[in-house]
Amino acid sequence: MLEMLKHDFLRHALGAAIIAGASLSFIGVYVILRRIVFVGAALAQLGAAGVGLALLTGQSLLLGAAVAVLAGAFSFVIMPQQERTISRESLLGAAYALASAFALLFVALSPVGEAHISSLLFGDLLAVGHGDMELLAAACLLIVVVHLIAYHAFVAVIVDPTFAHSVGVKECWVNLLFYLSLGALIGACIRAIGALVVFAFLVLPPIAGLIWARSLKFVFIIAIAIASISAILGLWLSFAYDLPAGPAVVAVCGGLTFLAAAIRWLVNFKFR
Amino acid sequence: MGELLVSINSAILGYGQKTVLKNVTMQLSEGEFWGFVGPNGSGKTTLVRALLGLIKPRHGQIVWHRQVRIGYVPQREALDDLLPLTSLEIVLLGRIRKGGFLHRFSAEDFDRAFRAMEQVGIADLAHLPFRELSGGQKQRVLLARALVTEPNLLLLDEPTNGLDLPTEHAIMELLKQIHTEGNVTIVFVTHLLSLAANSATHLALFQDGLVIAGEISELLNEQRLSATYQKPIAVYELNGYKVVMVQNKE
Repeated sequence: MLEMLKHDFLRHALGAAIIAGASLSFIGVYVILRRIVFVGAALAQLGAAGVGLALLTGQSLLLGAAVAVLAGAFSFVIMPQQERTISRESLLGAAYALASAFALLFVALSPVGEAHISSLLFGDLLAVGHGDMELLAAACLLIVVVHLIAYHAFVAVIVDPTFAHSVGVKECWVNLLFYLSLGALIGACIRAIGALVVFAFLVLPPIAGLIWARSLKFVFIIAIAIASISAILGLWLSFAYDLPAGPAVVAVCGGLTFLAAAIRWLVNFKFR
Repeated sequence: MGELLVSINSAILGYGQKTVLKNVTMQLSEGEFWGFVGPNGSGKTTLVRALLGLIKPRHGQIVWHRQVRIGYVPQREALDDLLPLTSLEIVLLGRIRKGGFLHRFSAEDFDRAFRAMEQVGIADLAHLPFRELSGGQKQRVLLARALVTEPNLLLLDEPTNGLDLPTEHAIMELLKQIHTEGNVTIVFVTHLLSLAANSATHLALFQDGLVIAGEISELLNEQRLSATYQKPIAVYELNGYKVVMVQNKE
């Protein structure tokens, strides 16, 4: 494994995967607790569409992803809460399908198209430079700090928005901050690790955390640990066995989550 | 009668284009114990949400006459079992200040949370996960969370819904104790008129979008109730316990 660290591009890839994985799994805990997994999937695909459009128009990929995801997050916040004829979930499904289709269409139409189709889903970890990694680290740090500052507001709104209102926590502002920070984080990570890996980090490590932890703090700790281990092991497997980096990271993350669930089941079964 | 807390004047309440309550006029004063009684969907929770400031009257007004600290107790099903929080962590949410931003719980916050849990008899459950508690224990945790806000008005939405009889009785006794010892004005929502009849000093009867409010002595009689519900209603007293029921035609 140490052999891997001798290469600059692999050190950057490892740094980017750990930073993105730890930040996404941290915020992913809220995504699971709010039961908005589909929002995460739709925003990740919107990010991919933003990258595709940036490729087509020759703009910055990071800017393309960030604008698309933040626009999506903002639209979700202002979407009417009352479901009359169409549920919010169906609108999210429509956004997911259209974003996936447009992402592929934009890339296919762009002059450098074909080579980037797989990077939309799995990113381009091995192409992350030192500057990219620093930018990613700064964006993730900023978003995680915002979440630490607003920790009690986020928890209060997830637990019971009506009670939160009665103690002065405004649900609408907290939701706006949450969705914009989620959008900004996905936008910052999408180019490096791609839509599928973003979605995997948002969902799999928090599931493992929720299966094992009896308190919220430990859910965060377990989720971040699983995401970081997945990034390290996944990249090592990719290096050692010449596998694509993104799918290897997702496979390890899925394997660790499955292992966590299986051990929990066995422990429960033994002590029942 | 205590000092006036809030006046609701000819308020029309609803969601979007839908009107739920018409022309609500009532006053809540210090030291009163209100039962908001009516069938499901009759607008009881809508009025509670209006008192919490979550919905504004479409017409008329709600006037607060003094600074009121509201403690809110939701139905215990309102909390998702997915949440990995201990009872203490749930209760501490009542101590959040500054809108939840940059807030860190102090030793005093913990002290008050433990005292509130002691007051409702669940201090030994502080470190247990909320989702592993029984229905009655969960209701007590939510009551403790409302009490740590040091309220002078306690709003409870169906606090005994789905509880067995002994637990329902214990919760109602606890509310009476909080009402008398803590000098807290209580508003509790229920669809059981008998439950309100034995605890409340005032009733608000919700029927067909209207609210008939007043002292229990004015409203808890067969003529008023029969006229309100348009069915023959009987009020019996068994060993000092009032029972309200629809009269059999025979």
